[in-house]
Amino acid sequence: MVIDNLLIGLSIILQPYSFLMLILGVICGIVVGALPGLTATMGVALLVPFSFGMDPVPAMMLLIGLYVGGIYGGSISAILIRTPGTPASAATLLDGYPLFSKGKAGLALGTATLSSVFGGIGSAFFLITISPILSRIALSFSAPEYFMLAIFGLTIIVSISGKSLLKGLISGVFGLILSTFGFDSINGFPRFSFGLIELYAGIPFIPAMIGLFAVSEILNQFSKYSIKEFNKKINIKDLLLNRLVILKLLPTMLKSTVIGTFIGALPGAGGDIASFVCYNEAKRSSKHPELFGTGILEGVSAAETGNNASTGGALIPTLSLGIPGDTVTAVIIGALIIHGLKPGPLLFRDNLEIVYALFIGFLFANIIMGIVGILSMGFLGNLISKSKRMIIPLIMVFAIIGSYSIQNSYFDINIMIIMGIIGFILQKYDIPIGPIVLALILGPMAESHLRKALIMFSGDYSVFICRPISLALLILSIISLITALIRQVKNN
Amino acid sequence: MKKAEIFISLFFMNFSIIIFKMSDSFPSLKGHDVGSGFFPRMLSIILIFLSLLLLFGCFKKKNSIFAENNEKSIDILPSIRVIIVIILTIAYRYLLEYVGLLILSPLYLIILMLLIKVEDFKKSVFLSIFVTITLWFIFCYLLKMPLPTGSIFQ
Repeated sequence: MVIDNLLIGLSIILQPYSFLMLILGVICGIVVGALPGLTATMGVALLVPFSFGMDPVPAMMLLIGLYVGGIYGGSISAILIRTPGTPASAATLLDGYPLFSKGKAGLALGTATLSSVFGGIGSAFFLITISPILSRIALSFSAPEYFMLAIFGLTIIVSISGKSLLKGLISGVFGLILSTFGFDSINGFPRFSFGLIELYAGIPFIPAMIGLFAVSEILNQFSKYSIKEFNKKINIKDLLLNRLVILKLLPTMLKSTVIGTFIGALPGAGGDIASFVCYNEAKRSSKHPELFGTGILEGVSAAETGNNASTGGALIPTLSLGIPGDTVTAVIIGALIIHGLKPGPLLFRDNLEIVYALFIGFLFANIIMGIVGILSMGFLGNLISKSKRMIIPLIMVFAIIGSYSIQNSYFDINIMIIMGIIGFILQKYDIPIGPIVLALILGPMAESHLRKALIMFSGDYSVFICRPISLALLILSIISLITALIRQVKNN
Repeated sequence: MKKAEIFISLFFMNFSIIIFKMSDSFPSLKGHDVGSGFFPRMLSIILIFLSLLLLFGCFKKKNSIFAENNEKSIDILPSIRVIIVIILTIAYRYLLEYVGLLILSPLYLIILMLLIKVEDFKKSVFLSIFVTITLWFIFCYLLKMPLPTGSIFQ
């Protein structure tokens, strides 16, 4: 029965117009994802009006292709110019950029491409086979579970603290304080707005991230006496990893696929959280955890597999329950409704062939993403490696335009510049900036869900221990923290 | 190195104290909610504690988990080039509103490329203009996202 439905879905996708839209969506997604300041959410939202005149299937192929390509595209700029194109690629640069700096851009890009394809296809498998089961588990998450998930995510700060645990913790707590700026999510009180209306919504995350990673690195390059340019050309052969490397990465990719799909299936938890959790797990279980952060393929692989696996995961509650798994799928739900398809159980009852077409389309999108990635990465990698002096000023302009274009706001450019200067100074004093970004992502989630949980359960703190999933996440957090601390002590 | 550690700890301690004091005026406990000020206050106390540890760690022995592993010295002041780039970027941001992206970006790019010592001046001029026009086309025409046009032209 499932096979019959899959074959029907395949026949729908292979119609020329639908397939063309899928390819176009993936290419647009990769470009959008690679440009700092443009996110997959923005790209999908921008393309929805273009899809009005299309039939539902080609329209959804365009949007799903862009979603998949957009999450992968972020890894390109993360590796080549130390600027995550999307928040989901923030963890990729921890090892991706060091690899590029060592002249191993081809290896980094090839790993990112393979891992993204693996994660995407793996999550497609879960999407097709166990959507209903995963949806039920995801729905049992409430405020206590989300709070514990955020705490588990925050323990990753220890892993990405680098040489000094104390400085990593300082960076993380500083980031958590910055995440409290703006309207309080529970009672709407404006905190630390300093009289600025623009700060009522808090520190805008993407300009802050662009500033912390990209602008700080640009300033760092300007502070050097000479800039290393690489003469080694990247070939397509460099991007196609050899069998030994693939075998070595396989356990990481398998584990990250499962973790990424599950986290993606949680409404509100997206690729950014998935990539950091997968990165942390890869580091925790590695025989050489001290190499993470210095340019290790497992680091890139874990992050990229996790964030692309989360795309399939996010489609699980979206299609089966009509609940968005992340911000992109929230826009996709809107697009489905515009095209006369109501996501949820009724979609499976009344339009089963379209559901399976979406499943197959998602699978093909990941394959096309891999092919386009391999064909284009060599060119991009060479361009950036060899013309670093010229590229650095261009990145600054991209960063400024990207920051401005999110909300047409000059204030966002101000935030980008301020965070860039802060990031530059912090790095000069060996304070890692990864924890700040992680804290900006998870801080609001931790605070709002803690307070919601206390309100829902009448101030009873035992709710975090009495609920099984919450308790399991608490235990995982403690294990994660202890193993990371032991590792730090051993290294010191 | 010690000077740098002391500077950072004092900076973060002062930052935390300011946050703590500002949080005092936030609405507090209502019903079962911990209030708007709970998280900032708790975090600022933790940051003060960590900053004190860092300050204390300046004088602790080498092998402590909280002590730095490397002994390299760090320049406290950024180089002159970095300061120029920051000033130029701030000027670019403020002039964008008046002059617009199409005119300002090529100028900004050319100056940055000169600062970073790009050898081929003609190539840098061409690239600056080409990239500006391409970005304008992508954002304004393809993506329909407006970019600063400059108030003097309106």
